Amino acid sequence: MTDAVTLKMTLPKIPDIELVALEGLDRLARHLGIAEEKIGEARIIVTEAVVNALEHSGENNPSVRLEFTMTTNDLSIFVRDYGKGFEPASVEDPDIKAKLHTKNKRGWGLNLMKSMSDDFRIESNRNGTKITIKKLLR
Amino acid sequence: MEQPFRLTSEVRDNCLVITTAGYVNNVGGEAIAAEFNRHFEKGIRHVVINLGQSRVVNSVGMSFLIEIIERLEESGGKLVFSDLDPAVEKMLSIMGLFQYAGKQKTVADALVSLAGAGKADG
Amino acid sequence: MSRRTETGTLAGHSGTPIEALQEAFRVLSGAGSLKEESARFRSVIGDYFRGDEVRLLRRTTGEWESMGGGPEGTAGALPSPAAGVAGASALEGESVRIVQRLADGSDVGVVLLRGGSGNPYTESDLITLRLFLTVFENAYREMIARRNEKDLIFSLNHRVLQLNSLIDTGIEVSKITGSAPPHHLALERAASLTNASKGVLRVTRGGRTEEEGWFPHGGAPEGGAPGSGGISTGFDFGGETYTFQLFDKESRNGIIPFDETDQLLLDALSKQVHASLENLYLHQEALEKQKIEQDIAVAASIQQRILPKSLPVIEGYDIAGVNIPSKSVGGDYYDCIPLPDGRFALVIADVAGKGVPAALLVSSFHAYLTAYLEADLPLVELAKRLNRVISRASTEDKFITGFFALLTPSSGFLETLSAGHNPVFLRRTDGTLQELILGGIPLGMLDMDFPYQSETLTLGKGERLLLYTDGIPEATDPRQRLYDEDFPLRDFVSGKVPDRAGTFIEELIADVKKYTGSAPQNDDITALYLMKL
Repeated sequence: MTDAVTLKMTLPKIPDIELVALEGLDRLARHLGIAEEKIGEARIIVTEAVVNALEHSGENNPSVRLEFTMTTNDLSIFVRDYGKGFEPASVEDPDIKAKLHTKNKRGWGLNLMKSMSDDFRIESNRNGTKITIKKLLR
Repeated sequence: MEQPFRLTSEVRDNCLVITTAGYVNNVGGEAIAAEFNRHFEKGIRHVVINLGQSRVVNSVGMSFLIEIIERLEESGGKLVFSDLDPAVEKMLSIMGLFQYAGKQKTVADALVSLAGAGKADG
Repeated sequence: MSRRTETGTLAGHSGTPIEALQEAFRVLSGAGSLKEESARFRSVIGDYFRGDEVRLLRRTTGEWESMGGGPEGTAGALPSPAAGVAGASALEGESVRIVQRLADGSDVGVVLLRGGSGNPYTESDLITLRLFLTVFENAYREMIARRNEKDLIFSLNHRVLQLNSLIDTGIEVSKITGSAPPHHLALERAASLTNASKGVLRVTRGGRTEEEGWFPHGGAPEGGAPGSGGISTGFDFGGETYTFQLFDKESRNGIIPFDETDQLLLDALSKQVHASLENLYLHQEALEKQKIEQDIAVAASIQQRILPKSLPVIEGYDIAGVNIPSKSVGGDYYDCIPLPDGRFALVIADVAGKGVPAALLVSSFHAYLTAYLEADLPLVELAKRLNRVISRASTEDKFITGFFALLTPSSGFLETLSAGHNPVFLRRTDGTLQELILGGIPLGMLDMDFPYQSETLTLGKGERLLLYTDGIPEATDPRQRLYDEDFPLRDFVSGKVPDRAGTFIEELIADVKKYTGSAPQNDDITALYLMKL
């Protein structure tokens, strides 16, 4: 029943460009009359998704493609980069115990996206990575 | 759009209180860690990080806080977060930071909890 | 409205029987009682059959009783109507006897006697008398009806206050235009009309209570909800069930049971609320429909003005485009614009939103676009400026997604930029598809100098470019499945390689229509296809 609004964009790899994505997200929410606190977790998911995708976007096409489809009930996020891809199954869930006392403390993005979303799909090959996320807005 | 990162700090009752505003990205996280290190060198072991004015943080920025936890762990210190946005709190929880750091509603509550911890420590 | 009682009678009757009968009806129906009507009837008949004796009798159950003109004894000879028949008659030369059944089930009998000197009665006299008696019956029926009406009004008299109040409520209820819900007012009225001390209104959806309002407090009464013994009524509207319940009818002697009228009143109020909710809904729907229809007409005319009547001929290429507006008219735009230096700008755009505001925004987009193209701005600069001006020209939830391609026909060199638009498909000669996505955010989304990016490529012989708007990938089949970019659109673009661009467009539209079947077209369908010959 509820109308879906869609927003698509291609973001170049420049510092803090994820804030543009967040601004787009905020505008969709305002357009649909969704309270700000309902998209708090979505904002974190989107931030992580864009930062992560840009990090893996590769030399040839350092940009990410982003699509939001929002209704008053949920948000679909589609993020795609054009990097060389990776094997999602081989990525181990990070553990703070392991991160303490080691050099690399990063690598939380994928885990956060998965944990905070209601549905998470990833498809990666040598042409890049596509992530589709569903987040209920409540 | 989200405001750029800003940081202020003060030392109260031998506690370092770092207050951030705006987007805590990698640069912001690094700045927090640097501010902490500066005071850590001077012997400060109790730290409050107030993220109330930061609606957006990213995990790269937050990973610098693990470094703070690491140093405090080694030296018997303690970190407490305050004024957390519910989504940011969930994020830090997923990252497991609350296994090592406390959280309080306000800076004042955080200071009280650290004072208690201080006494318990001896 | 009531007929004036005639004081006179038909003195000295003259004229035709028809006139006499009409006059008789006028006189008889003016009577206020059966007794009065009987007296008038005797006088009418006496005038018509001058010199004859008229006796009138009536029986309700048993014996005939005189209504004037003679002793009961004469009734003995009156004929009796057969069961189910309204009358009977007897003709005996010197006497006519007729019985007529009246509307109240009683019989009235007329005996007409002629003295020795006159001629004997004929069949014609019998018929005439029967007609007069029918008139009597009709006039009596009307009298009863009038009396019943009066009785009805009289019997309702003690409820007049309540009825008036009900009417008031009806008016107030129908006046409400959404601010205060009519059902709350109705509950209050129902409770005060029936002397109920408590009342509740519940709105439920699928068994779940969505709204509950109590009279007189608004909230649930202290000590919880009353037990059984009340009256209730309700209706379904918009997927919700509205239930009114009243409890504890107060009287001077304490709590008494509700009576039938209370239930009727509650039902009537509930019906009024139902009707007013429906009216409200229909009214709003009608207003909206009217507005939408006007909107569509204006938007469509704005849109038609800027869409190309025909596309230019590009030597060595074939190009075709299409725009099929949806019912609600979105803000789609496409064109192929020749530039002074011999290049061509292929443009497709889609405004978020529909109707006049969307059409106006496309119109200003079109104006800026043509100006910037003439100024020979690089694509990234063109996008940056369009983003700026559209941000300032529109509300924050309005933006335009667009795809721009600058073609140098001689070399096949293309520079493209996507401003938050659907990926444009480039079909290489080997059938592989390349998605052209580089660009940035939709135009007008953010008032900032967004760092747009463009990409460049060279179009080889037989290679093709498809630009399209949301109307295609968001077209759904009757099961709500999208004509998605990944499937089936991709396969279609990859698989179809007709000789003419126009054929491709026709076949694409046919394929989308075949896919959607009976499902309505929700959005404008716009596409632009370029192929290098």
